[in-house]
Formats: sequence, C-alpha cells, structure tokens
Amino acid sequence: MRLLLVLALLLSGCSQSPESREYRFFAFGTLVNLSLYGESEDRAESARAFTARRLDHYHGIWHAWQPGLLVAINRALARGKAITPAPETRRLIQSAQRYAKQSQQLFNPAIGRLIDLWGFHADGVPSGPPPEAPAIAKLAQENPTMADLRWRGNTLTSRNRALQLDFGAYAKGYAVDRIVAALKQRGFDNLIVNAGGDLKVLGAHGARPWRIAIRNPSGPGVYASIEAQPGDAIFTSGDYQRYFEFDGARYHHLIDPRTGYPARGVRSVTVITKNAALADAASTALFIAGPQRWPDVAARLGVELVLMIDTKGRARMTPIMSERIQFEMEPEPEVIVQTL
Amino acid sequence: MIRIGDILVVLAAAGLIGAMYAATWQSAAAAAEVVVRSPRQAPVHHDLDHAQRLEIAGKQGTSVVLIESGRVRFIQSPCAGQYCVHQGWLDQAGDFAACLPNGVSLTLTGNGARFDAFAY
Repeated sequence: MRLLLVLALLLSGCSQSPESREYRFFAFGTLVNLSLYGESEDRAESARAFTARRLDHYHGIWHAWQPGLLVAINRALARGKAITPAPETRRLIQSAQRYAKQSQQLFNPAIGRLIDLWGFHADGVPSGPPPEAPAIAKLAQENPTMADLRWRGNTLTSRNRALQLDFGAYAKGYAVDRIVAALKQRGFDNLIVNAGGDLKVLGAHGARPWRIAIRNPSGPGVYASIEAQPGDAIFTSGDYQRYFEFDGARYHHLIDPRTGYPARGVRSVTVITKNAALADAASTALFIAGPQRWPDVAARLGVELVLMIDTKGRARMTPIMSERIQFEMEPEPEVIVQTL
Repeated sequence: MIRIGDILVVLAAAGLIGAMYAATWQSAAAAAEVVVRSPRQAPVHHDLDHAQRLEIAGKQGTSVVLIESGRVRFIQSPCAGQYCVHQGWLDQAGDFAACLPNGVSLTLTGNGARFDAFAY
C-alpha cells in the first residue's frame, strides 16, 4: 500500500503534457512567433496561415510609406481634401485619437513628416547624418497632432497641412488585438502571438502560465521574466529597435514631437495591459515622457504595469510591476518604484 | 489512521521529486541545438557541442554564424542595421535571432526551455 503511494507520487511528477506547437515566420515586416497549446497539427496550421495572412493584410493597408490606404489618406489630407477611410481604418484612426489625447499628444501618430525627415521611412537603417536643425525646427513648430483631424460623419479632413499619419507605434498593437480576437472566436484558447517582440497571450500553457522573457536591451541575455496572465499584451519601445549612429551619437526612431529630436534618457519601456493597441501607444508615449514624467502619463492612459529602463540602467517601475517581474541578470539592476 | 511512517514516505517521495526536478529542469534550460533557416534551403540543425563557423547564403549576401561550447551568434551579416550581430551570444533553449533583411534566422532548441516567448 505504501509502495503504491510512493509510486503514484513519483509518477505524478512525470506526467506528459499535451503538445504545444510553435511557428516562426516573417510577416508585418518582422519575425513572428505563434505558439499554440493543446491544438491538433491541422488546427494549429490553420491558425498559422490565418495569422500570417491577416498580419500581411494590415501591414499592407496601413504602411506608412508604401502605397496603400494610409498613403492615400495622407495624400488627400496634405492637399486639404476630404477623404472617407474604410471602416477599419476609421476605427484605427479614431481609437488612436483617443489615446493621443489621453497621452497629451506624446503618443502622436501625426508626425509622419518628422519620422520621414530622420530617414525612418525606408527599409533598413538610415546612414546619417541627422537632418539640419532648421528643417527639424520647422516641422516641430508646425506641431501636427491627432487633434487636427476633423470628422464629419465618416469623412475626414485635417486643419493642419503638415499632418501626416504614421502608425508605426500603433498599427501592430491594433492588428494583434484583431487577430487574437478572431483566433479566439475560432476556438483557439491558449496561444501567444508575438510580432517582433510585441506579444499578446490567450489562456495558458496547460496548467501553468505562459512564461515570458524580457530581453536585455543593452546586450545579450534575459533581463527579467514574467508570468503572463490570460489576455495580457506585452509591448516594448526601445532605442535599440530602429536607430543609426553618426559621429558617436545614437539617433533612434522614437521622436519627441515637442522637440523634433529622438527622446532622451530612456533605453526601453515595457507596458503590460489587456489591450495591445493601448500597450503599443503607451510604450511610445511613456518613452517620450521620460524618467520623471512617465507616471503621470501612465495614469492618464490607464496603464498600471510599466517597466522603464533608463539610460543609466536603472529599472523604474510601478509597484504592481515590481511584484510581477523577476530579474534574471546578475547583479540585479537598481530599482526605482514610482507610483502613478 | 496515518502513522509517522506514512508521513516519512510522503516526505521522501516529495524530496525525490524535488531533486529530480532540480536536476533535470535547471540544467536543461541550456540549448542543445541551433536550427538555421535561410531562403533557399530547408532548415538545418547543428549541435552546439563543438565549435563551428557557418556561412549562410541569404537574400542580400552571406551571414556568418559562430557556434562554440553551447552558444551561437551572428558575427557578420550584409544588412545595414546589424541588429542580428548586436544580439550577441544566445544560449537559452527557445531563444532566437534573425537577420530580417537577409532572411536568415537562428532558433535554439533543447529540453526544458525556460521561456515560451521573448519580449524585446
């Protein structure tokens, strides 16, 4: 009897878990990982094909510089004309307007011209040098924001000719929300959609949560780890994602709309919230807000789980984030807990 | 009726499971293999046991990858951004690096990967 008890206890530790499948493919201009738990090979393959198709669809229509719906909208607005965007694009723009307003326009998808000026409207990496100061100042002074957009019914105009929409900080989050919702409707309950390091999860890996590693932004290895709760979206903005170096200085793609220059003082911001579009917008807005002001902007946006790594390597975070994450680096970084 | 012997048996079994877990889970987080994907051929598996230099043909040119004692990295690539090279050494099962412009990716595999996904 006791022997059976021992055997049962030993064997319970060795139980096999159903398969989790992982796919890796290029889509949305980046490397995408799709993980599925508890699905047959046929079902998993259909989820992969659907995800790849939908990501490419959104990437094409909302591309910031290649011909598509967004480029057509920008062309019309720059000429002072009215345009009626397709319904899903209208929802993208209107939801972005709400977040832009909440972030006090620090999340500003209307500064496409500035982003283009810095050379980031091209595949690959700009070669430098940085743009001339007068050109930057001119665009910054024109101050296009999402508040310059006017809706009359479903028809859109802009009161600022300098406005050019660039959803590089938003379209991925919005697309991931839509795709995960569609997969859930199709009966997929346990998955991770990870588009180039920005991800959203459903469910869990069987009996345990999905385990997410946050990469070290300053070198190799894992910086911290976290257990994702069902529905969590985890998005990161970083100065290492798109940048060029010239004369010993780094110029990255997270442009502060107030100055026209890349935002300073921050290496990365990771935001966790249930809405991926919000996570995407918030990680950008908080990066630009900087080490002192980010708690105020986070409170305005309604995000509570924030990790900011500043350029001195300090980990700034909300109290509940400090309870959720586990550092994986030795020695552990200096931690600054900032309340909202 | 539960006797002291029963309790000892349960504790011993639990301790044994704990020891097995520690022995197999922690050390198994290290990667055993790298899977190389490139545009014009099927995925190739390389073990990480012995040092190798791989030259991989991609869309823009040749990516050079180094393998040594349980870790792997891009050392050269034709892309303008060099993000793949900046990723440095990888050694965790489940981790990966890619040169997007060249269409080349490295995926580390092994038992007991500690993480399901990487945020960056």
